[in-house]
Amino acid sequence: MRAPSAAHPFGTDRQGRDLFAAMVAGTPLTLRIGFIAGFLGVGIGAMLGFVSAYYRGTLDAVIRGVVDIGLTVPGLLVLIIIAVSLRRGLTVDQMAIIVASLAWLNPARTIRAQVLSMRERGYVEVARLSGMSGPEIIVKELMPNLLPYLAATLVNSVSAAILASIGLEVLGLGPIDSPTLGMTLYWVNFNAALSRADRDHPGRLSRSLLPHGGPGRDRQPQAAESDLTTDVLSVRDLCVHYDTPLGAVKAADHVTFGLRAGERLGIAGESGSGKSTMALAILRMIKPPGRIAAGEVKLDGVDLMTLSDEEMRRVRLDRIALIPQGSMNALNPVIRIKEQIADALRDHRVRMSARETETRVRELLESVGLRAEVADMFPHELSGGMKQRACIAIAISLSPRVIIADEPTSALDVVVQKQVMETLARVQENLGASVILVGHDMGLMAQFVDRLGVMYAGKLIEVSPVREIFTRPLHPYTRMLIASLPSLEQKGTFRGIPGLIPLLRDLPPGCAFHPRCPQAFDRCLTEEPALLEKHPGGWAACHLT
Amino acid sequence: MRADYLARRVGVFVLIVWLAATLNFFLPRLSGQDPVRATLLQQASLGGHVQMGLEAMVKEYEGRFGLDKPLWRQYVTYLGDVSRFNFNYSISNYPRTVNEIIAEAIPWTVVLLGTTTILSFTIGTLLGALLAWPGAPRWMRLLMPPLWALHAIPFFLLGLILMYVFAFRFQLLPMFGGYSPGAFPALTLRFVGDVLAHAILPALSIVLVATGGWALGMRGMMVTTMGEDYVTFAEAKGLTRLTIFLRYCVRNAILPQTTALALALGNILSGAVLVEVIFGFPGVGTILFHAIRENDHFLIQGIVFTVIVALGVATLILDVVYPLLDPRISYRRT
Repeated sequence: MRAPSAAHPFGTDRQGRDLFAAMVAGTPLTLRIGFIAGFLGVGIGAMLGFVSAYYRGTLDAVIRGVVDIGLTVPGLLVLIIIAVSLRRGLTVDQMAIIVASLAWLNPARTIRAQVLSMRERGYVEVARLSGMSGPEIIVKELMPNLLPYLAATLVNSVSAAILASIGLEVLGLGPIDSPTLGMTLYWVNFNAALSRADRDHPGRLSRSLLPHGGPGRDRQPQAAESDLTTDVLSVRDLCVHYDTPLGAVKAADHVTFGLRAGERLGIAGESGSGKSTMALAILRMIKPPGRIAAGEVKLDGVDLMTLSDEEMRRVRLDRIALIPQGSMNALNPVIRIKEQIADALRDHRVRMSARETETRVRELLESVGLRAEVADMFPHELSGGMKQRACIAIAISLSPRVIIADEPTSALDVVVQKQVMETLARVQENLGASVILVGHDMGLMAQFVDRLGVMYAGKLIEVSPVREIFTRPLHPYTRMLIASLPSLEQKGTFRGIPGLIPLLRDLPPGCAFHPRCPQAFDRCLTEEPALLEKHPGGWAACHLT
Repeated sequence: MRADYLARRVGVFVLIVWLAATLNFFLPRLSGQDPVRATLLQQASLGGHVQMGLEAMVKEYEGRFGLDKPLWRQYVTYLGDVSRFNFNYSISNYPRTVNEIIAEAIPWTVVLLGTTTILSFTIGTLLGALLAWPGAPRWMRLLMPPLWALHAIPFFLLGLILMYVFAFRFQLLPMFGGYSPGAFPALTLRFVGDVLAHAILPALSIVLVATGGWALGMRGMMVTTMGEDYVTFAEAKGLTRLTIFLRYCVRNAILPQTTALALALGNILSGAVLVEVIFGFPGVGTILFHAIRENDHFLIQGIVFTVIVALGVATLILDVVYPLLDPRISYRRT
């Protein structure tokens, strides 16, 4: 055995064979094994995956069963049995086929999953409806779309095959006569094992390398409860910007409004108008790249923007609670409902015994019209409406001053919508809390809120009592929004608002609504209107009134 | 539902064990003649160290297997033996039985593999969770590239590198074996220390590689989980960061990690076999290596079967524990 030198860059083994030469000779052989096995594996795997996912049914169940079981059995050991049984005179190609005998399992599984997600897509549906046969769809529609994925699978498969073959060869189960990389390792190791017999290695204990216990966790210090006196929410010039490479996008721009005690305020607008952003901004829950650029949010006279993170955390739920969108999976799927109420109580330092907590949880659930047994259930055991009631129960658990309901009934059917809204109305009256209802359903707004604000392109463009806004809207956009509601008198006609919402990062100058406004005049093109009180209680940002 | 789920998992386990046993029986017979017999004859003709017991062994062997009987009878007899974990004598170590040899090696492998898997899974999962968490210290991000790199190296290759650096170059740690030659196995502080010193390098080559894999997997899952609605709602509930991190993010992100662990056990084991061989660690892998070299079919079959059963048990345990972690599982029809 010689150390690396100029003549032998990698040195030699015990028999004096040059290891560099062995590497040069062995690499193509090992690659050959890898490629043959990799291609075979992906080929067979892809075929099975396609058939399995496309035809489903019994065939799928059988193929998946075989693959699942095959993947559970340790591959190297099965390959060992195969290789041991066939050992005499293995060639490189036979080696490749042995490796390939298991290499199709993984591709079959992953490709099946890919095809499954793909077969539901529109263009496959269309092809099926237009009368294409199964194999035709597989070849013409699915294959082209899966090619990039197949290529990636192939790379993985080849490298896995190379590793598997080297693994076998290191154990001495490869083509004995061929200097593949693994066989070279085997010979080196084999010889090393021989030479070890006559060497002695006194063991040395190295305690410093022993693992210690895990790192301790620090508990956050608890700040003193801030003393907030009674008054309600006032939002002034709230700006939320999203930093993008093209500059700041103003998702909420100088939003200003007040919320009176016990009042229900609606915030309406099309999707993308910034209403949900505003709701999250009040809770100071805007995530990067978004940030609250300016403004103040005063709750009972205290500006939330000046609080520390820890103080703000305590304000959430305790003073301002959020009811999430009805379409959200807002409940942790792996924790029981009662635990999801109890952890909120615990983190707000509500001192209660286990029994008191239990009672409180049941009270809360009953107050939103849920049976007490729901406490012990998991979210997946509840219907959409029940989940949303559970969320309301959480939201009212600390009797907040303000409840922000962000499209609480989206994705619920109409009957359940009504029940949820009635529940919300009832608990709000019991608590005497104020509610901000965010949504785009003007009908719902008309029934529920006292006052309605309308947002457009990140700005609040009108705030008026709900009765007035429906009878005497001040802003042309509000007027068109209400006109777009289907009504009983004008059955059959459906009027939308012409044009599209402008891109927030590319707003028109002047009033953002002017390109769609039928009454726009030159002042609207240049000067941005401010939100002004047009008559007592009626505020609008428009040059017309 | 629970019972149904459990029954299905146990069924799969039995199926795997049966499959392994059957492969073990039929594959060696595919090459025409009975390779076990061929091996015995070959060993006898070499006149090596086995000769002394050969006659007795052949007798025992023929009597037990009834080679003159039809194949299916042999198969039934074989299944009966296997179900009692009876693998006969080791050819290369006669008159020791396969069971004795395996029993001697198993503690080494179980401790090495158990410790390293638990360590790397725990450390990797925690590390991955922190890597994705915005509140974690910034320097942690520097760990990403090395984790990626380590993750791509096969266990045994890292083992060779570590051996070269720490045992050969700097001679800080022993290179080979489970304990120093000449040390007498006993429960003394000295011997235990010796064993630990020998185990560090093999363990390190598994832990370093595997930790990277778990960390990367967990990081990906955490990023997905942190975007879930329930995490947003958890924040709106005013929960502490610790509660959100542990109960909402980690608690959910760890579910696919556990599934991945069940799927990866086989791979980890395959890799560890090679690490044992490289370091001459006296576990099951090294025995397997020697058994293959010496054509000891009984020993090979015994080891392969034992390992597959052990893995099946480990997977079964994970499968049974999983519904406790994810309440949805027992309701989901797979």
